[in-house]
Parts: sequence; C-alpha cells; structure tokens
Amino acid sequence: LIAALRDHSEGAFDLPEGTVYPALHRLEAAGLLASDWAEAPGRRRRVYALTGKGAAALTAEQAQWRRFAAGMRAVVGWPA
Amino acid sequence: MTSLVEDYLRQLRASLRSRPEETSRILAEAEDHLRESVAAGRAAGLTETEAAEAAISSFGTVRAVVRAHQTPGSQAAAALHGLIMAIWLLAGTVLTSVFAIGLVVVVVIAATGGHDRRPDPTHPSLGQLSYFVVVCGLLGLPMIAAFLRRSRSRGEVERRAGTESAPEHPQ
Repeated sequence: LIAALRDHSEGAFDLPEGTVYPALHRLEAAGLLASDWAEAPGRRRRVYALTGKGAAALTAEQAQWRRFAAGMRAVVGWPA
Repeated sequence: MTSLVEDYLRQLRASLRSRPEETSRILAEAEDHLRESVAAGRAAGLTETEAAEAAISSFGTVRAVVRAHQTPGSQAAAALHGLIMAIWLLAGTVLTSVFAIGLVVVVVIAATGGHDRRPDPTHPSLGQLSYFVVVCGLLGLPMIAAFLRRSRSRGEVERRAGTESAPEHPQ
C-alpha cells in the first residue's frame, strides 16, 4: 500500500511508513475498512480490505475529487 | 530481530498514550512492518545494522508516529489527565500542609493547656481539632504517595526505553 502510494504519486506522497497505520485505523473505526491478522509462514500480517461502505465512500470521494481537480485545472489553467 | 528495532519498539511503547489494546496492535503492526523491511534490506545485500537503520528511517521517527496516532479525542484525554493529576497533587499538598501545621498547633495547645483557658463554645475543642488534623493527614499523605509512585513508575518506563522523544503531555 505504501509503495503503491509512493509509486502512483510519482514520489509526491513519500510518507513515513509508520504514519500510514493510524490512517488505516481511523478508516477502520469509521467502518470503511475491515482488518484481520493473517498467518503467513514465520510471521503474522494484518490484512486490510474495503468494506461495502468503504467501497461506496471511495466511489463518492473519487467523483468529488475529480470534480474538484477539474475545477482547479479550469481555474489554474485559465490564461491570465 | 536486531536490538535497533527492539529499541525503537521500546521507545514507541513508552511514548504512545493510547488504550492498552490499541497500543499492542500498533506495536504488533510496527514490529511486523519493521521485520519485513529488515528482511527486504538483507535480501538486497545490506548488513543487519544497515537494514535495520533503513527500515527505521523509512518507518518514521517515534515522535512522528506517535503524533500520527493522536486523535483530537486522545489529545483531549491526555490534557484532562494532566489537569486531574495537577489538581490531585495540589489537593494532596494542601491536605498534608494542613496536617503538618495542625499537628504543631494541636501539640502546642495540648502542651500549654490553651484549650482549658478558652471555653468559647464557638471554637472547636482540642479533640475535634485533632480529629480534623488526622483526617487531613490520612487523606493528604496517601494522595502525595500515590502521585509520586505513579510519576516514578512512568519515569522508569521512559528511562528504560531511553526515549529520544520526550512525552508531549503533562504528567
């Protein structure tokens, strides 16, 4: 997740990895994510997945963000 | 696991101000993450120490991680805790002072027989005064002792961890 965030943003979101977990915890507390420990050979790993509510929220946020980005592009890209 | 990672996790444990079950989950996830990063570093040819340093550096400082885990609710709870501790210490100090001064007053009155020369019914008798002083002592002294015990135990946890980031909340 952290690597994907860094790579997709072309390095713009290179967050300290430890600060991503609190965001996941808050999303889980809001019911947008669900998580559980999964046993892997020699270690345990916490796996997070979108809930139905989370998927709906993601779609709504994406639509809102696209509108905002399109608006910004229109304004910022406007010739002075 | 390297001692660098263990030290980091100890510092994190000492600095987090979250509920115990939340703290264990944060630490378990951090340990899992750091272990995996160290293994990846080792696989890429780094030494154990280099891999641990790189893993910790990417994870973020203890201060940054603790701050990221703070919510407005937890900050308010920490501030309230600090306020209650301050009021507790103040009350303990006042009660203990009343006990100490009252003890001297009771001893002086008893020694000089002052209560016999003052039959004014509006003044408390020596017995009533002694009772009041003893109650103040019985309340105030344990309050201060409890405060000191709590401060010392928290100080020891932080000293053992050798925490680099001082706690950001009043004790």
